[in-house]
Amino acid sequence: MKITPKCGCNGGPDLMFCCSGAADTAEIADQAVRTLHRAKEAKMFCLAGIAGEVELIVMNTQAANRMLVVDGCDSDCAKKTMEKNGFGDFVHFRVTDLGWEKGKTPVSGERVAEAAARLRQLLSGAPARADA
Amino acid sequence: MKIQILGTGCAKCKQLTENAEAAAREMGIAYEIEKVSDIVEIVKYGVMATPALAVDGKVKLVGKVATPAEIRVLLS
Repeated sequence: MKITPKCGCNGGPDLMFCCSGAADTAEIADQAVRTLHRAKEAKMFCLAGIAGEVELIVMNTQAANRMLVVDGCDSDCAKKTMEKNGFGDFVHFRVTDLGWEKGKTPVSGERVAEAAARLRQLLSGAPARADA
Repeated sequence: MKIQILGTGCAKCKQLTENAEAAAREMGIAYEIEKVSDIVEIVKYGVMATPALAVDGKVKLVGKVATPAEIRVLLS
C-alpha cells in the first residue's frame, strides 16, 4: 500500500499493530486489522519493526496520532512488545474478549467482520496521543 | 552536511527549517538546507508524518518540530 505522509499540523497517522500470531484468534485479529487497513481507516504497521527497533518504524510510530494494539489472546504479545519499547499510550484490544476461545475458534468472514467492527469502534473513541 | 526538511510548507515545516538553521549556525558547521516539498519525494524517505528532518539523506526526525537544542543532537 502506498503511504501518503500526513502533515504534522493535523496530527500524525492512526496506526494499528497486531500480534498476527499463530493461533486462530490471532489470525482473526490480523485479518480484522487488515480489513481496516485496506479500507484506509487506519494504517497497519509492523510490530516486528518495533521489536527490532527499526529506526524509521519507531520514529513514524512516535509521530502517530492514535494507536490501536490488537492481540489474539491474553498472552498480550503485541501489548508487551509495544510497552517494552516505550509505547504505552495506545488502545489495546484482545480478540478473545469477544467471547471466543483460543484454539477453538475457526477463522470465518463473519468473525473477522465482527472483530473489525469492534476495532473500528475502539479507534473512533480513542484519544489523540499527547506527543502526536 | 545537507539538512533536508521534508514537508509541504506548513507553519510547522517553516519553524523546523528555522530551528535547523539556528542549530547548524550555533554548531558552526558547514551546511546546506534543502526543502523537500514534493509529496512523491517525501514518500521516498519512508516518513508517514511531516515535518521531518533528514541529514545527508538519513531520516532523523518525523512528525514534530524539534528545538534547536534537540536538532544539535541530531546533527552531531
